[in-house]
Amino acid sequence: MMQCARFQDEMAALLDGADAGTSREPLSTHRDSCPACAAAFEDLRRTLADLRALPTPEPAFDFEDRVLARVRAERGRGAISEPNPARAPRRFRPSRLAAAVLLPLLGAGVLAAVLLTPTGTGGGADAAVAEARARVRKLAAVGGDFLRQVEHLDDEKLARGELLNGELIVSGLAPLVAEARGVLARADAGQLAQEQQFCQRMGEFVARITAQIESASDAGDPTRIVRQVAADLGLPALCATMRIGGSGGADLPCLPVVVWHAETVPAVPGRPGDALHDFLAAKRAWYGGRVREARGLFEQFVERHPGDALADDAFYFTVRAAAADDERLPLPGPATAVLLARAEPWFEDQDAEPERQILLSHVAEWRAELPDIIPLISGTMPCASPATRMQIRLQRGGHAAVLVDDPELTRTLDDLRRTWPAIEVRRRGPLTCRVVLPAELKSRPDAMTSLVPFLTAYPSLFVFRAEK
Amino acid sequence: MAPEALLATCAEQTDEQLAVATAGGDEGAFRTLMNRHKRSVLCYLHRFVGDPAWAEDLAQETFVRVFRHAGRYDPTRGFSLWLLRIARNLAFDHLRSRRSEERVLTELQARTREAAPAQGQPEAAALRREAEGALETALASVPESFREVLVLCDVQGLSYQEVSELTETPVKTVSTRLFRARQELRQAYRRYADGSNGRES
Repeated sequence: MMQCARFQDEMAALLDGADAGTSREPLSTHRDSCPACAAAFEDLRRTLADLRALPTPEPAFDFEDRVLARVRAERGRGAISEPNPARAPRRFRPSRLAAAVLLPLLGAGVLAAVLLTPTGTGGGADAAVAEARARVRKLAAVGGDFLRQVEHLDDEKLARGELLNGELIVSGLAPLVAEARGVLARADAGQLAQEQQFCQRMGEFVARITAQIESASDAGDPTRIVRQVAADLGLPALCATMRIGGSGGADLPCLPVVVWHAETVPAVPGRPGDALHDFLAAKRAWYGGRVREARGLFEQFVERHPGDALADDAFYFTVRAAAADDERLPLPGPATAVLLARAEPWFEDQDAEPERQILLSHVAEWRAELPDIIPLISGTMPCASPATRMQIRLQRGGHAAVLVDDPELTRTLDDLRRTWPAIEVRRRGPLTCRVVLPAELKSRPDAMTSLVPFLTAYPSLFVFRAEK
Repeated sequence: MAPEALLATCAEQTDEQLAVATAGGDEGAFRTLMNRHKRSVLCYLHRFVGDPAWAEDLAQETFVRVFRHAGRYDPTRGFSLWLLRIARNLAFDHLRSRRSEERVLTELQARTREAAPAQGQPEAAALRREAEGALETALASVPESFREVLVLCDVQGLSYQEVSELTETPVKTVSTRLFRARQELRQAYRRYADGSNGRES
């Protein structure tokens, strides 16, 4: 008879599908006859199942771009590869929201393309058919994910201001439709009737949504319209037929609300002065075509709510509006300077050249000012009662960590460290450095005061850790 | 080559072929490799290192090194293991530079506490979040050398043989460590899950 201790020693093998056991008695026999061991086994099995089911972290939306940027920097500005057609359309800078929405979509597309491209096909004709299929399935994966997200809209998301504009849909899908059509035209049509039909319907969908965006008279609920158009064309079912795999829109962390006109920006809770309210007011103006007004509101937003997660988006629109007016931005204030430092890659595309030029000139300007950046921030950052806020944070935190992905900012931190040697800066490659503020700094109000504006300017970069 | 043709071509190539192309400076091939493996690498680093921000950073660093050292890659051996070896070395460097295991644990606990009552989540979601937090905390409490084997076998799905090759330890040691790791995880998980909400799992 097998001993329980022996069973528990070896039950891992059972999990791995290899029932080692002894020659006389398989492990499973003991498990089935001993309730205590069965419970231990079940507990272990469940723990490991839970472990495998833990949510998988999603890589940064521009993971490949970041790595390639570093690789190229190492190679000393070598050849730039051809643009990846699967990349997010840069016309719409991938904001936190867009990244959450778009990238799983695009990721799904690429995944589908990678998984589904049949391998081992023979001649050129077969290869063309295979490529066409892969293209269409990619389109189906992206389109299907999008439609599923639209199905999952709810008021709560809406109230949080998680908006996706209609242009984004079109700009995401239109190139995929065009690509699929191009490849289909080169392949043997006889084998691809279903693909042809799907592609044609998807093209129709894009065209109708584009018409909605362009018809200034329409004031219907855009979400409902998107659903209706998709249903008319039978797209949800078709997408499901055409695609295998993809990310599954239902699991996405945030869901889009479709917006294409000022009137369709939802009514927002809150008063003027609330970040969300101000942001949506600016967006209303933007979608209403009142570019100058929108720009003023977005600029105001950036200065009033520098730490808000929407500040990036607001700044992005500020730059676009400035480009539309062919004007320069005002000299960078501290919040703008922070955003400028992060904004360069937003406008990599050639069709965003005016925006890029504006931005680059400002980045250069700001970098020239860099040695004074701390006084600049300290001097002008609005902060009601800095010391109090900081202390609360430190009491909770004990120490703070800063995640930085800008080399200039790293230099700023070095300056900071020179002023306050007790601050520990740990470098981890050019991407990141981490700053630990020792607890004794709490008793140094002067140190705190100089840090507060900094922390306020970069709240999203700071990670506060609890200390016992 | 036109981008679409490039993508289709890359999609059909094996990792090993792509790695060789990467060694020749082919950014398209490199991009495809990243696309295929970034989630797996990030997941491994996240489970092993614990901190998602660090994991992301280390994952990017991993691929920078893949590109840098692609010339040294031996295409007769599996690409995945080579990739994991780079990630693993980075993870160990990172962990070594971190002050102590206890600190990690504290961070995880803090995060669990913060994450649980997040903005009006439905109860089921909050409970699930809490259980996940407990499991992450439990995982972080498993000693490094055991945790590594656990993550490689039970999360990444590697065989004992592969883990043995990767960690340069005998297969027997791998299985012993895995056993210990699973036991520790199970006990710690139960402890944290019971401790955090007082319900019997």
